Order: sequence, then structure tokens, then C-alpha cells
Amino acid sequence: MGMQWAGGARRRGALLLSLATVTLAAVPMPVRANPPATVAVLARLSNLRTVSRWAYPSSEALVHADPSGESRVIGHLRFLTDDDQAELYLALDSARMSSGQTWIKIELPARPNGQTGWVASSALESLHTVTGYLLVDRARLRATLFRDGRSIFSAPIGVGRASTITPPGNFYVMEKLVTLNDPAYGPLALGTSAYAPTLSEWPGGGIVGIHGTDEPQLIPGRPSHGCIRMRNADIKRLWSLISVGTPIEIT
Amino acid sequence: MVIRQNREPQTLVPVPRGATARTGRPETRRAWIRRSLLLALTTLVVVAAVAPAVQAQSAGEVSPEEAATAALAPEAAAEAQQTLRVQRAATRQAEREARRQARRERQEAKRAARATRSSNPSVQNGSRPRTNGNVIFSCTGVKWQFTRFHEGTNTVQTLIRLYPEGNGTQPISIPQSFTFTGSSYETTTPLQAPPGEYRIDAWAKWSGNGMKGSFDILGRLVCSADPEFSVEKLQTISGSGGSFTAAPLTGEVGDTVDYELVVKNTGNVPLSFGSEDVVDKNCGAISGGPASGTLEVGAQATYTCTHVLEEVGSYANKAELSGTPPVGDGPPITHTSNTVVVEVPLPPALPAPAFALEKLQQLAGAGGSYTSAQLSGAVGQTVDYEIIVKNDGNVPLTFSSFSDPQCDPGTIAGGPEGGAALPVGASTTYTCTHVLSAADGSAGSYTNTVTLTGDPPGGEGSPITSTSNTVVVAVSPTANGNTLSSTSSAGATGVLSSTSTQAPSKSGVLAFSSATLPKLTGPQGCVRHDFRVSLKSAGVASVTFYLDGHKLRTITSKNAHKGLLTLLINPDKLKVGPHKLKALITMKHTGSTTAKQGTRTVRILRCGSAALTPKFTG
Repeated sequence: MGMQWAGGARRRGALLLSLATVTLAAVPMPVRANPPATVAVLARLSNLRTVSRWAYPSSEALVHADPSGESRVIGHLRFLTDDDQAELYLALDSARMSSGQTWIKIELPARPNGQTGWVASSALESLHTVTGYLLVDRARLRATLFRDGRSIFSAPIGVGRASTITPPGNFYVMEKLVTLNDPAYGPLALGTSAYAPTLSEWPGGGIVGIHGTDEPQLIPGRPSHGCIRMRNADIKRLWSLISVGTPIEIT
Repeated sequence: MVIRQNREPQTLVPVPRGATARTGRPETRRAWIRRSLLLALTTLVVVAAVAPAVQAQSAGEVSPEEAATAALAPEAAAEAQQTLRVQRAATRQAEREARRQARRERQEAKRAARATRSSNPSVQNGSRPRTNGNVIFSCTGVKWQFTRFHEGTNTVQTLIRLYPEGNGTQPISIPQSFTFTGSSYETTTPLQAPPGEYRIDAWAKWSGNGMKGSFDILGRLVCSADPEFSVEKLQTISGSGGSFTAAPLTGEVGDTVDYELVVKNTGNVPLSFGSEDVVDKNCGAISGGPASGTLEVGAQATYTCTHVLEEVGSYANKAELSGTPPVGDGPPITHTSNTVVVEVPLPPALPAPAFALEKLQQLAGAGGSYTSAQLSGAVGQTVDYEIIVKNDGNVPLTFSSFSDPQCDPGTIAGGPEGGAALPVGASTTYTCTHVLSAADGSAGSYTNTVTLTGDPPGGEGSPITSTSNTVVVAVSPTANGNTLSSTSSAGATGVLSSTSTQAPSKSGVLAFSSATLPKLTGPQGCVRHDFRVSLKSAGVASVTFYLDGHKLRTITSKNAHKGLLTLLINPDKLKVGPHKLKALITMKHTGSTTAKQGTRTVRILRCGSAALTPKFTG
């Protein structure tokens, strides 16, 4: 987390190029000499609801806007988070190119939120599978963990106040921490791939966490700087149920 | 008083003390009467002679010596006075000697009694020895042994009195009552007597159950300083509502374990405990203990500390404690507590469908075995394929249909019997064949990769797709060198899709490439504890491991265990961050390889502790 990525305009361009590539892949390709690399097989790796996949990086490889080494570079993979934990990447799609190389589309834990990019499959270790996702409903001030379409956990939450909102979007659980020396975080915490949009100068880059609290009377409510607070008993329960790589949808 | 028996046995006469001192033989009655009369007469004479002198002295006219000299003027009086003086002196001497003797005898008797009781603290009831009880004294306790009681319920009242000698301290009384069933019973009353000498009196009395009796036993104790304490470690999961216990507990990651270290002074001198005297490496900040730093005899104090469970596994904890007795009462003593354990089991596994797919090949009739290595064939030869599917997830998987475009039509066989689900951990094998065609010969090789989709049971995850390794048969060099590409899209769930790329090979000779090296397997994600890297030992002569360029160890095929060559690595000295572990693999020479060595590399990621203050926005 914390790497610098290209801006939103570039990201939109990259997505359009990706979509164009996928569209081309659906059309039967004529056989010809020295063809450009095209997508032979496109597969969805994560539906962000019931089955999702993630991987650790095997190198600090470049992240491209498209499934091609010649496309624009928008960043690189990292091994460690700012808390010295293993950084991991949510794998969204895979594309096997006509050249035989496989690329994987990943979600980027970076500011601004919501970026995606492509890396060669060799840049990632083997894929891990998680089931379910965590829904954070800012309107109802409640977090619900779903597995196979069923709610298996639900608890009231505290989210960011109006000036320091909890960002909406699709994210995932980056790390699981045992908190020390600061009761404001409660006993346990989950690091996410989300960044608080208005706190870029915060130590660590303004990462949004899900954690306990020493002010349970403020839950449910909007007391935080962007983090998602839970009562300590609830975060302990969620911590035991959820695994890293689990998608988070904040609405 | 000394009693002498006269020669006339009917009469016993007390003899004045010292009367036999001068003669050394018995005195007759007549002689004694004569001597008494003479003594009386002499006394009267002396009194009459001395009276005027005494009166003169009283008036202040003469000194007592002058008065006595004047009174003893006659020779007889002088002799009588001398005799009287001698007799008085002898009498006083005899009395003093008798008193000394009596005192010596009493002291000797006491010493004998003390010696007997000290050397053998088991003192029997003097009146009814060995009938109903016994008492054994020590400075740490009095052991009561009651025997030969009637069957049934018996009650015995006891009282211990401990009399400190020499310092005027009040005696210590310990009354107790014991009720026991049966004919015998044994129990101990703790004493913890401070250093010093004591007289001890143990008294027992019983009445009932058809018996009535008592005993009262005296003894003596000489107690030296005996500093001692007990220490016990207890634990509970914070917030669980459970009480502190020494028994194993089960917790979850994130739970806080509260510990108590209960120390009790079981010796007979006070003990002091400082904050540095408590060593508990597996605990956080330690608080509590004796309020004044000193634990009195018989008193107990409690230290407390906590620990947050960070990882799955077993968490053991014990403490070491040192107590210091007063100066002169011995050196500090150290004890280690019992060990308490909290087990942190793995949380229930989430459904995680997964399977591995491996494709093998062999040339029919060539006499070889199935392999993933590249083969050389000729047009017209048949390639036999095996597709091995192993369910390495945690839910059963169903492969509803299986097709492989790279296999010749109608040659596919095998798979789970009756299309049943493949159980967790089980494997199944599909087979098929392909006859190498002229087109394959023109292309130079025939490449085969298979992709398969498995369905987990309803509600236990979504369909999952896996792709096999690629196997290649080098057929022959093509004439035109063109590259052909053909693709087939993934089908519906359970339908195999396959991608094949045919490319001209540069030669028909098998080369030793990294593809033939065994894969090096290492940990993914964070390493914080000992970890293993391994590779399959088949065909490997030796492997040398390097970590960040530094040679660690060379392992030969002789070290293989269960088909693996494994190296255990301790990451404690690794800096936080990525590290490169390289394996230089030397293969056994088979005659068909053109190279003997190759390398495999895995990335090792040393992470920081997962227990920290997060850098979140809060």
C-alpha cells in the first residue's frame, strides 16, 4: 500500500483498452503469420461475491494498464505493506494471450481508490481462494459478512464523519493485525486496500482500517476519520471469520 | 535429705548434714548424746561470758572482737567457740553442696529428657504408650497419628502449645478438632515456627464412639531459619467469565490471557520480593506482589500480567521468582512456577474448492513411463496421455463432463466412477491418445495443455477452473517454418477447454531445461518462524541452497525423506523484507541430458510482527 499510481484519466483509458481487447477476443481470429499478442482465453477469477482469488507477489513487477508488456506502466508490485505485513493483490481476471503468456488483472491498493492493472502471471505466486464478501453499509451503519449468499455476521459500525468520509467502492482485506499500545483501535484490526480520500497526509498514507474501539458508546454512528469502527466483541468475531483477500464492498 | 540406716534396723534417725564428714564412720547414739550435752553446756557458758561484752559494745564502749576476746578468756570457752565456728562452717558448706548436687541432678535430668526428645521427636503417650496415638514434632508441623480407634466416626480434640524459650514471648496455641472415619487417621498441623527454641505440648482428647481417652505429650524443638515459598501460575481468558486456573484453556487469536502468579511464604522467616525478582518473559507488564515488598510468614501475594494471543498454536507460560530472607537467615531462594498452556486452534475452515491438474505423456510402445518431460516422436506414433486430477481443496468436486480437444476423438476414458464427486484429497486419472500426424511433423512438435472446471456442492463455493502443465512431443523439423495457432474457448461449467500452440523446434534433440528441474517449494506470504523449502528428489543428485547469495547447505539424494529434499530455515536473523532463496540443482546423469545443473528460486518474505499499533486513520 502507499505506492503512487497514475491518475484517474489514465486509468479510464486503460480500462477502455482492456475492454476493447476483450471484445476482440470474442471474435474468431484468422490464422496469420507473426500475429500480435491477443487474448485467447479470458477467465474471471473473482466475482467479488461468492468466490474471489488473490495472490502474493513473487517480484516487484511492473503493473501495466493492459495485458501487454508494451502497455503503459502504472506502478509496480510491493512485497510489504506500511505495517511490514505481506502485501497481497486481489486477482480479478486472467487473460491467456495468443503468445502463450498469461496476464492477470489485479485491484491496486493505492490512492486514488478503485484502480486496476495487469501483471504477468509469473509476477504473482499461486492463487488463493476466498469465499464471500464483507458489505459495509454506511447508510444503515452496519457491516455484514456474506458467505454463499447468506449472512454469517452482522454488527453495527461507526464510519467516517462528513469531513473525513469512509470511501465507497470495492476493496479487500489486506492484513490482520493484533493492535498494541493504543486502546482507540481495540484489540484487533483489519487493514484494507482502501484509502481515506481526505487524509492523504495521515501516517501510513491514510489507510482505512476496520478495528475495535475504546468508545463503544459512539457505535453506531459517524465518529471516525474514515476507519470502520466496531465494538470490540464484534471485531473479535469478524476477525476470526474473515480471511485476507476477502472482498469488501462499501456502499 | 540423706537417709541412713542404723545398725539397729527398727529405728531410722535423720542425721545432721555433714555429721559424718570428719569421722568417716557411723556414730553411736550414746556418743551423740554426750556430744550434744557438751555442745549445749558450752553454748550456755559462751552466752554468759559474752553478754557483758555485747552490752558494752551496744553502748559503744568496745568492738565486737574485743567483746568476743573478753568473753573467751577461759581456755574452755575458747575451745568451745572454735568448735562451734567449725561446726557452723561445715554445716553451711554441706548445705551448699547438697543444693548444688540437687541442682545438678535436676539439670542432668532435664538435659537427658531434652536429648531424648530432640534425637527422637516421636514421643509416645506416657500413660498409654502406643495405644491410641503418636505425635511427631518438627519445626514445620506436628504430625498426629491416631490408631486403634473403633470403626465408625471418631472425633478428637487437639491443642498444641508452643512455648518460646528465653525471650518471654507469649506461647502459641493451636486448637483443632479432627473427625475421621475408621480406626486410624493421620494428619499434620503446620507450625512454621520462627527460628528459636521451644517447649511444645501436644494434647489430644477423645470421647465418643465407645471410646474415651487422652494423651499429653511434651517435647522440645530447636528451629533454625528455613526460608521457603510456593509459587503457582494461574490463567483465565479475559472476559470469558471463567475463574483463574492452572488447567489448559482454549482461546482465539486476539483473546487476552490474564495471568496470576500466586506466591505464598511457606517458610518461617519473612521474605522480600523486588520488582526485578519476578521474571516472566512471556508476559506483558507485571504488577502486584507484596504491598510492602515483604511477605510475612504464612502470607500470600499475587502478581498479575496479561498477554494477547497473536497466532494459532499452543501458548505456554511460566514464571521465575526469587525471594530474599532477612540477613543471616540464608541466601535468596528461586523457584519456577508451574507451566500453564492456552491452545489456540485453527478457526473452522472456509469452503475452498481447489484441485490440481497434471498432464503426462508417453510414446506408445516405446517402453518408457509417463512423464511431463518433452519426448521425441515420429509421424504415425501414438502419444498416450494421462490427465491426473487431484482434489486438494476442502470440498468434494464434480467434473460433470470431460473433453480434451487435443486428444483424438473417442479416446478419452477414466475419471471418477459413474461421474461421482471426487472426494477431498482423492485423485482420479483420465486417459486419451493422439496419433502424431503429418501436420504435427510439419509443425515440429505437438503441445498439449488441458483446462478443467470442477463444481463444488451447492452452497460451498463456485465452480473452479484449473489449468494443467504443458507437455510437448518434438515430432520433426518443419519444411516451411510457419507458426500455427489454434484456440478453443472455455466451455460451460464442467467442460474442458484446451489451448495448443505448435511451434517449430530448433532441434530434435532433447535439451536439459528448467522445465525438467523439480519445482522448488517454499512458504508464501510472511515468514516469522522456522520454515521449510523442498523439492522432489526424483532424479536429483544434490542441491545446494543459497540465501541472498550466501551458501546455506548442500543436500544430496541420500538425505531425501519421503521423496523430498528439504531444508529447514530459521528466519530470526533475516531483516524484514524480501529475500531470495536459490537452489542449485544437480541432476543425476542419465545419458540423455546435455546439461547437469539448473537453478530454482523462491522468494522469502520476512515480515514484522502482526502485533503493532496500526497506521490507520482511526
